[in-house]
Amino acid sequence: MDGEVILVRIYCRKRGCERALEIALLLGGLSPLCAQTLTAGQTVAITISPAAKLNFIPAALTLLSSGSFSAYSGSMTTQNEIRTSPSGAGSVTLQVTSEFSPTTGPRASVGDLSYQCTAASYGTVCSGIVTASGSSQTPIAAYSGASCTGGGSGCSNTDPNSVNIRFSVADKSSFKTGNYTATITLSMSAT
Amino acid sequence: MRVINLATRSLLLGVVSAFALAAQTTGTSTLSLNIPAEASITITTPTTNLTAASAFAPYTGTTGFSFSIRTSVSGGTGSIQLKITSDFTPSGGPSVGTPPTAGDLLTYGCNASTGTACSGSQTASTTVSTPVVVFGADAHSPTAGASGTVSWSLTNDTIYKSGSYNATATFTISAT
Repeated sequence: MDGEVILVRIYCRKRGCERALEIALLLGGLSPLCAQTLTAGQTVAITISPAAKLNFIPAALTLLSSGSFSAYSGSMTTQNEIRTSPSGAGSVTLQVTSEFSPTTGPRASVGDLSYQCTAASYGTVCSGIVTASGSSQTPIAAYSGASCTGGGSGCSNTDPNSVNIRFSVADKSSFKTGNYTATITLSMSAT
Repeated sequence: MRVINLATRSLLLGVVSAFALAAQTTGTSTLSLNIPAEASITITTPTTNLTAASAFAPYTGTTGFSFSIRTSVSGGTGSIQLKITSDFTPSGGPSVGTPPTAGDLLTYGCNASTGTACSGSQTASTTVSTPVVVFGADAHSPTAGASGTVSWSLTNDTIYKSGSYNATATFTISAT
């Protein structure tokens, strides 16, 4: 231990050099910037934690009707990356966090907004038509334990993963004419 | 002393990572749509047979239709109209465009569950659309749809040759 202390003092007297040496050790393998040779008896342990990241969700989506009193619909593709522990799980869920406004048109609270998960590159997507809710989260995609993103071999083949969601709003004659907006929030988690 | 500090920091990093065993993230998107004035109609009795209750009594029959309508909140209007787009064929029988006898008419009365149905007896025409139902601003049919009928009456003129005759009436619904 005394010998190692001496080595550091010889090559790294300046504070800037000391910091470079710290960084090299923590990354576990990069060459020290100041010392040509350094041997340290230290185990570098890394814990890879579950992680979830929504890479992309469109900021806005316009729903269009194909004809008189045909439902308004539109699709979006979201992208994500996920890593779950062997016994963990992951999910992407949706919730209407701001009800349609103004109040004279469609209302998510009475089931006017629904969606289908039309495709996903990884994981298990929701099945059938799901009615969006403002009071609870509804499923988009689920990931099992030991999920990981990219590279195949048990991980997804693509990085990032993608999920397509097709929204639909009933076109009821009782709605008053005008423009309406609502906000949805996608939440992603991993354990 | 410096070497000992390095080891201590590395071990702490590992401990912190071990506790970060769950992750969560969110993203939002705004859904928007424009709801316009619109209308649709379906004729529920595509073929209406006109029959006479007795000799030389008028030929009568009823055509049913269902519709949906939404008019604009401010200044909107709507209507259902009809027009004889194909006069009776073959010739020798009744005619809306050129009746064989003055006073031979195809007339109708209206009924509708939403809107204001035409009043009295209307005379069908091959040249102009005639009213069936009118709607004002901010009119809405029920979500399940509204319904209406047109009750026809055709003069039974003795001059008509016997036989079967067909004409086409076209219903048009509009909303602004």
